[in-house]
Amino acid sequence: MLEKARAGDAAACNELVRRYLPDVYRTAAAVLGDGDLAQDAAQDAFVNALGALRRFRGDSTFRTWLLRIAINAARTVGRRQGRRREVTLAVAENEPSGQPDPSRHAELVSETERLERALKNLPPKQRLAVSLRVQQGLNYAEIAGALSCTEGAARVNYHLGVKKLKELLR
Amino acid sequence: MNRYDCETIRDQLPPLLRGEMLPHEAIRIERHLEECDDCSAEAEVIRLLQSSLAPVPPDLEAKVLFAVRRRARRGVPARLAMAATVAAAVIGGALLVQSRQGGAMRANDVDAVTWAAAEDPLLHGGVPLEDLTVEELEHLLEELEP
Repeated sequence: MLEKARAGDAAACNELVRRYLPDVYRTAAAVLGDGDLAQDAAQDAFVNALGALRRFRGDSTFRTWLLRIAINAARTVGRRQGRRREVTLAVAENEPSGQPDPSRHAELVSETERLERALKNLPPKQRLAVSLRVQQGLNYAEIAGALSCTEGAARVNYHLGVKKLKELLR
Repeated sequence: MNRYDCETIRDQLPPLLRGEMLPHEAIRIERHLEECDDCSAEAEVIRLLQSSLAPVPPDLEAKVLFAVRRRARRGVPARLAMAATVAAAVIGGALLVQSRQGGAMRANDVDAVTWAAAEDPLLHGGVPLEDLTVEELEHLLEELEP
């Protein structure tokens, strides 16, 4: 599929977008802490990545390469907005409507708000390492590729982040 | 449980809680969690993080595909457009100076100006600037003025 996309096959490009959109969007959301800005960053990331596909040499996985582009796109969007708030993940306003149990929903929103506040207290690299590992299932080598750091640093950032979150949520 | 066990277990909590582990590995970790308060507390944090996963907005895929197609339709990347713009300006300026100095325009010069203008989507209408949003224009400007 990658080869076809590289050769300009529109269907293959569309498939790459469909397959990797959740990862790209959530990574951008983890950097920016804003769903609307994350959408802008996701669009920029795919436009940039598909435009540069010929330059992808396969030194890392395509996913890692794409997430690095997504992180850069999100930072650019953040700077453009003059609010480089590299914060938080997900959230309440993005929760799907029609929750079956209102009390459970309220509890989850409350937990999510606490989590969001705690995440704001983490340094950006730790926050991103936690998001990539826990929410997107990347291994340390992939996180290292996405954050342009060593695998050891990725592991340390992740563990430090989770450790601090544990203390903050206690 | 020693420290090494706890570190190994904690490394495996995210895939465990996503249900990606083999049953026998999952049972080993769950047994550890029953005995270890620290790892159990960490599992709760991981669970909370996973439950707060942001849903992808339903219309985002269409927006991304539209943006990708629009960029593909433009064909010539903005940096190339910039290069063509600069080339046209330089050549045009040189020709202007030459004509003011009374020099005759050679056929090759005319070809160069024609080529540069034809290749430049910004000058030649290839990029309909009026259709772009303020944000897109700012983005384009960033590419033109890094």
